[in-house]
Amino acid sequence: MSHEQKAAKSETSSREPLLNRLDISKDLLKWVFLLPSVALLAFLTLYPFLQGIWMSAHDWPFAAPDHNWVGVSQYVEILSSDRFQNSLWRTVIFTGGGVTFQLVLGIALAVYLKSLTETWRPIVRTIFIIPMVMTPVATGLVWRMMLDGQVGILNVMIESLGFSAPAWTSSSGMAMFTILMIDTWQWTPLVVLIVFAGLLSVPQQLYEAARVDGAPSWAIFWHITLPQIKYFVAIAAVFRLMESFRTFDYIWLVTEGGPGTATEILNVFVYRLAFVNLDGGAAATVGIILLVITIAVTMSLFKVVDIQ
Amino acid sequence: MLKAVGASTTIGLAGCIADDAGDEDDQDSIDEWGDRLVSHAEEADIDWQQFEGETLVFGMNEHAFTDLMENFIPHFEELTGMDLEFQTFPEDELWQRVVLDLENQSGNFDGFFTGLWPSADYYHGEWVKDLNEYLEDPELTDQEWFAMDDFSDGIIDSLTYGEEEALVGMPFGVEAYGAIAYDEPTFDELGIDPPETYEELVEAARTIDESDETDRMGIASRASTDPLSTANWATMFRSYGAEWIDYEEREARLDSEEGVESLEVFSELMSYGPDDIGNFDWYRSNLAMGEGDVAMALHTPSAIGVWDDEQLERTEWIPPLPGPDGEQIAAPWTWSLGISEYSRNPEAAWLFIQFSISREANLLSSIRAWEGAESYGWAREGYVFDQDEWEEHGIKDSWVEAHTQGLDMVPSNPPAVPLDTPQNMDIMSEAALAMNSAVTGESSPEEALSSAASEITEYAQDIPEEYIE
Repeated sequence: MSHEQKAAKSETSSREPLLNRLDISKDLLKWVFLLPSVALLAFLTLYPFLQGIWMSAHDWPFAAPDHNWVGVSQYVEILSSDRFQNSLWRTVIFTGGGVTFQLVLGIALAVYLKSLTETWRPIVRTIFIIPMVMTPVATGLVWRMMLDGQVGILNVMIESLGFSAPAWTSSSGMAMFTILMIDTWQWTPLVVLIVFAGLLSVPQQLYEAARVDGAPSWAIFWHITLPQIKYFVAIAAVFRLMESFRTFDYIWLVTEGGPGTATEILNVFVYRLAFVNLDGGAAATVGIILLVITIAVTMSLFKVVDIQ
Repeated sequence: MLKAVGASTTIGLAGCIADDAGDEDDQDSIDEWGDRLVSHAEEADIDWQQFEGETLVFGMNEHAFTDLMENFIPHFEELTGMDLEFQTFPEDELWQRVVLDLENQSGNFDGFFTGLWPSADYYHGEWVKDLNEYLEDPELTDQEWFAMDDFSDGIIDSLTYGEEEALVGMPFGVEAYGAIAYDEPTFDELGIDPPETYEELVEAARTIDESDETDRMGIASRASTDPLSTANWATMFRSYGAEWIDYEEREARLDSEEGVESLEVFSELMSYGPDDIGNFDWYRSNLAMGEGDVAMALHTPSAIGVWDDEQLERTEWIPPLPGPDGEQIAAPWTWSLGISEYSRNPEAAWLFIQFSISREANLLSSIRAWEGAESYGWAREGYVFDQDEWEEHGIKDSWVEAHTQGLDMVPSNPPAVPLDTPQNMDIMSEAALAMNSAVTGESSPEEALSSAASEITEYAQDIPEEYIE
């Protein structure tokens, strides 16, 4: 290459973007662009997670200057405690029972929504999603006022119809029913929306063929609709399970985990350990256990439904 | 129809005008008291301007004291040249935020509400400044002006920890729990005499609750799962001769015969109250009596701060009742202001504490200085009750007796609850769950206390040696 050609090439190169001039492979370049986001996410998720594991391996009372290493013995102690096992059982009832009922109700409401005309569908859909857009704290406060034994509107309405109003939070069964009622009211709309999207994706030809064959409605639903929307139902179940395990706001506001520990699900138990007992180590331990349970349940669900 | 609308509109407008007139009167009172607080502060031989330009943040509880003091922030700022901000939260949220702030050593709060029962935690966690450091500094405190003698020794002792006798908070409000408020017209109507024993109290509650002559239910008290909700039952518990723990053996003792009996009586009492009594915290208990839903409250006299004048007028008070053997012990509570160990302006924060708990300030917070003002104070019992304003504001003699006699019943060794140990909140948290279980019928008192005992023994075994005498 002549001197003039080299000079021309150099001049051309200096006008090219920097990244074009650097000798970086595409794979490496991909990671360079991803790195800031990945680093931030890693810091925001990995650091608290690792800190939680570190705390769970220590006796970590907040109101004490020293934190002593205890290893896995804290896990053993907590897993074998009656209080934890009670809390786990309450979580199974709340999450398992609640999510199951919400899925059934959500599917039914989604099918109903799809059956509506184009005029009514957006109106009813909007009404359905109103509970979902309220923050959980606002939900808890509003329901607490409505359920109040002295001034609550629900009891006033029930008594005006000639019935005696229940004591919503005064027995373990009733308290659990009450928080399930609130949870269902707020989060069934999410199931409705997800399943509704699934229903819209079902090819109409399948229904037409079934009707031509004279299949009854229940058979169409069972053999066509449900298999077609199963992945949407699974997604709704996963979202609901993950959210349900983390429920705290309205349980704390309405029952404070009571009566006694009747509605003390694991997340409420974590809060008590951290902010009533000031036991950071125990709270972190239960938090890690809850995380493992959440991951195990959701991954199992993925496997059952064979989601790729 | 038009007449009804017109009448409603007229009444509504009149209400707005009257409300505006009321607000003006309130502001006049606030200005008057503000000037009074500042004049009183200026009598102290300290330089209030020594931290001019600094900014203070105090973590405050949603409370009558906060509502009152908020009115005087501008006066404090003018006096000192500092900026002061209240960050106000409901009680359990404040506690959560303060714990996080202290644990992270953030120093976001210079000072905050400190409660009596967790005060050992503040000390043990090295979370708060020893206020004696500022009390003894002549640049910061005119001791004669601040008059520590106004506070009872018992209250100051309950906030003092360790060999160095560190004072963790300066009290502005003191209260003894387990007194009885009763609606006198209801008692007169039903021909009930004021109870003198717990058995008579139960009988009175049953009579009222079962009567067709009144809409009021029998009685209310705090019975939620919050540890602080045990305070009224704790008064009964100790008066029945029961103990929470054996300090030397480091074992739970609450499931004794006396403990079970006290909880049986308390549960029976609560059965004559609202159906959802298991949810009754400080606010719900106040509301139940203040709104006339119940005829009696097993509560602290300090609850009157948020009642309306009509119920105040109807209510008489009885000091905490004696237990079966004649013992009278009352569980106390104190709200105080403390300074964060991580504050960047601790000395400046001390100036606000002095301003807000000075003689005049505590007098102000102890009376209803204007229409609609709330009250909570009485920490300076050696000063407040001797003032003309106290006489003028007409709080009933029965209230004063219940309050002062209740405070006289507060023991210090051992205290009414194990607040001299960092495990107090853990222990009382288990006790609260047991109490709530029994009151709501989830389990019998015996089962509930027995279940709590095993947990409490574990906590008792963690009590550091220096807290065991």
